[in-house]
Amino acid sequence: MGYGVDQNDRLLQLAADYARDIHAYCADVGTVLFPSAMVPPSEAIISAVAAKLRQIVSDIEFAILKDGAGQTPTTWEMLTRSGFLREPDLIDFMLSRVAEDRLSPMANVNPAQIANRLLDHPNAVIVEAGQTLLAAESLHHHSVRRSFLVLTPELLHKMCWRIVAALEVAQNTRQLDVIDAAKTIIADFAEANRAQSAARKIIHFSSEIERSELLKPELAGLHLHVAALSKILNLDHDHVVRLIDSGSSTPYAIMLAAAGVAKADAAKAIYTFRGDLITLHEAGIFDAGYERLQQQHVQAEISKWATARTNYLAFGQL
Amino acid sequence: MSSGTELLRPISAEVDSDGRLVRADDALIRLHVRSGGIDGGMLAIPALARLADLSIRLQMRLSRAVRVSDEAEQLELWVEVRPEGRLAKLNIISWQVLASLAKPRAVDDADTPNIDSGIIRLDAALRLIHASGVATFGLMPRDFGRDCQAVLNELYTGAEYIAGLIDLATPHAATSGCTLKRISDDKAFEVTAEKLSDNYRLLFKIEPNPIVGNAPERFGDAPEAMFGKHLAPVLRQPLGRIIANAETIGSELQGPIRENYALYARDIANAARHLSALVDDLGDLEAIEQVGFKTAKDEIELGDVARRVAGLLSLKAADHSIFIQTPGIDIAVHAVAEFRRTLQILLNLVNNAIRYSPDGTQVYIEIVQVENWAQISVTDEGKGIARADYNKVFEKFERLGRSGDGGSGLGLYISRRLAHAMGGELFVTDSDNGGAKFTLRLPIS
Repeated sequence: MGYGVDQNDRLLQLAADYARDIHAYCADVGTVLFPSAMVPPSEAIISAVAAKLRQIVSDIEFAILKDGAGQTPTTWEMLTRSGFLREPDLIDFMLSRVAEDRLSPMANVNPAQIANRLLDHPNAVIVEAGQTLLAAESLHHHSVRRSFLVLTPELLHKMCWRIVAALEVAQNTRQLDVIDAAKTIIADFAEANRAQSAARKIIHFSSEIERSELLKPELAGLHLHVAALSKILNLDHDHVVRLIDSGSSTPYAIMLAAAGVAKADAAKAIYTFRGDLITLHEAGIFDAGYERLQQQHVQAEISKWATARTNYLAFGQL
Repeated sequence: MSSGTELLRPISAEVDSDGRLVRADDALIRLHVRSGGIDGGMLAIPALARLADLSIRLQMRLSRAVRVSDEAEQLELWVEVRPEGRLAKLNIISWQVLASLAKPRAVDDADTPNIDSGIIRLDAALRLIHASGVATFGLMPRDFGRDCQAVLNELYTGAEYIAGLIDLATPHAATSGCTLKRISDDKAFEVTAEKLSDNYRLLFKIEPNPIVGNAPERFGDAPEAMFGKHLAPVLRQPLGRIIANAETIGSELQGPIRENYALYARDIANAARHLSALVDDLGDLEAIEQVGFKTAKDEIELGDVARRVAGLLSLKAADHSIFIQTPGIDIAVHAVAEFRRTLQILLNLVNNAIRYSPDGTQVYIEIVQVENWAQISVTDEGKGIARADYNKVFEKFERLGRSGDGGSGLGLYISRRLAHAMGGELFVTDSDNGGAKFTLRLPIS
C-alpha cells in the first residue's frame, strides 16, 4: 500500500497534533497531580527573582548601616554562598512576588473605581484596610529603599538576623548599633500593613455578595481576587498566586470551580490573567470540562494541594 | 459562608512564652475549655497558641485570620497580636462561624465515642489537649498540656509505638494502628491515629480478643524488624531537626543570644547527635541479631576502604590535630566481604581512635595479606587497652568506665558481629607505641 505526498503530509500533521495534545495533556495532569513539583523557571524569572532578592538585601543593609551602606550589598556574596538565598520558603515567596508583578497589570483595574469601592464602604474596618491596601500597593511600586516591607514577618526576621550575622563575619566584630538597628526594623514592622494582609482583612469583613464581586479580577484587582480565593478555598495567599501563574490554566480553572464561579466569569478571569498563555488545547478542555467539575470534589482535591505545599515548604526549613 | 462581623468590643487575651493562657475574656476562655484546656493551663487552641508563640519569638506585630474548631463548630477569627516582652497580647476583632464549610467527616462522627471507644487529641507539638470516652481513664487534670507520649507511657504498655504511629498518620484517615495495654487492668486497646488540620487525634477502641504483644506486627513486619525499619527513621527526623535547630541557635545565625545560651544550644546539639548515633547503633544491633542475618560477598580492596574512611573522618581528625596515615596506593590487598559493612567497621575503629587519642598524634591504617586472610588494622597513640579488657571491650554496652564522650558502647560489639557475619574476625592487641591496635581479618576468597 502506498501513500502519496499529500497523504504523508496529512499523517505527519496528525502525528504532530497528537504529540502536541499528549504534551499538553501531560502538562495538565502533571500540574494537577503534582502542584508542588518544581517546574524549572525560565531565565527571565530567575533574573527577576535574583533582582528582587538583591534589592531586599541591599535595602535591609541600608536600613541597618545607614551612611555606612554602599551601592552594592556587602553581604550578598556571603548569603549566596551560604545557601540561605536558595531556601525554599524564600524562593517560593520571591516567585510569588514575581508572579504578582506579571499578573497585576493584566487585571487592568481602574484604581479610582476600586478606591471608591473600598473607601466609601459603610464598614470602618474595610475602609481602614482599604487605605492600607492602597498605600501598600503604591509603596510596593514606588518605595525607595523600603522593599523589605513586602516580606512576611517570618522572612523579614530571618533575613534581618542573617544579614546582621553576615555583617559581623565580614567586619569581624559585633556592633551593637547594627543589632539595635535590626531590632528597630523588626519592631517597626506590622504585618497588617502588608498588601496581602490588608486584602485578606477586607475579604474577611466583606459580605458574601461583596465577596462574589471581589472574585472578579476586573473589578477587584489581583490582591483582592487572590485573597477571596484564598479565603474560600482555605489556601495560602501565595499558593493561590503561584497556581494562577502556573504552567497550565487547569489549576486556576479548578480553583474557580471550587469557589463556585460561573463558567462565563471563570472564562473571563482565565482570559484576564492567562490570555497570553492559554493554548487551544487548554481552551478545549475548559470548554468541555468546566461545568462537569463538581464543587465538592474539586474542594477535596484542593485540600490535598495545601497539604502538599505545606510538606514541600517545611522540608529543609529549620 | 458569612461575613466577619466586627466585634463591638474585641476579645482580648494574654499568652506567655510557655504557651500558658495567662488572662482572657470569657468567650475565649469558653472556647479554650471546650478545646480541652484548663484554667491557667496551656492555651488549648493550637492556631492561636502558634500565633502567640510566633509573635513572642519574632517580637513582631501580627495580623491574621486563623481557623479554629472545637467540638461544635469551625470558626474563622481575625486576630491581631502584639508582643510585650515575654507576653503576647491577643485581640480578636472578628469571630466568624464558618457555617457552610462542612467539618471533616471523622471529626463529626467520632468525637462522640461510644461505650467501648475513646479519643485523645494532641496539638501540633504532640501535647495532650483533650480526651474523651475510655481514653480518659487514669488521666489527671495536670496531664493536659504535657507531652502525650510521656503521659501514655505511664498508663499503657506499648505506648512507645505512638510516636511512629503519629508520624505515619494521614489527614482524616487512620491507615495504621498499634495495640496498647492498660497497665492498671491489662485491658487492650486498638489505637489508630489521624492527622487533622493542625493537630492529631488518637482513636482508642477496646480490643475484644487482644493478641498479647502484637504492637510491632501491626506495622506489617516481624517484631524484630520494628526498630530499624520503622522507629529508627521516625526518630532520625526529629533528632535531625533538633541538631539543625540547636546548631542554628548555637551559631547565633538568627540573632545574638547570651553566651551561656549559645553553649546550652551546642550541648543540646551534641546530646542529640549522641542520640542519633545511638538510634543508628540500635538499628544495626537489631539487624545483626536477627536469625539469618547475612552480608553480601563483594570483592573489595582494603586500601581503597582505608582511604575512603580517612577522607570521611579527615575534618574530625583535623579538629584534634590528628593525622590519619593511610596505606600507599601501590599496595593492594583484596578481600571478599560486604563493602558497606567493612566501611562501617573501619569508620567505627578510626572514629574511636580519634576520640581516645591525645591531640596532635597519629592514627595509622595498615593493610596486609597473611596466608588466606586479608587484614586491615587501625593503630592509635592513645593509652591503649589493658590485656584483661581485650574481650570485654567487644561486649554490648561496655564502655570500660568511660562516659560523656558520645559513645554508646555498641560500636565495637556491632563491628565484631559484622566481622563474624562476613566470615572474619575483629580483635585488639597492643601496638608498639603503647596505643591500641584493632585488626579486622577478612577472607580473601
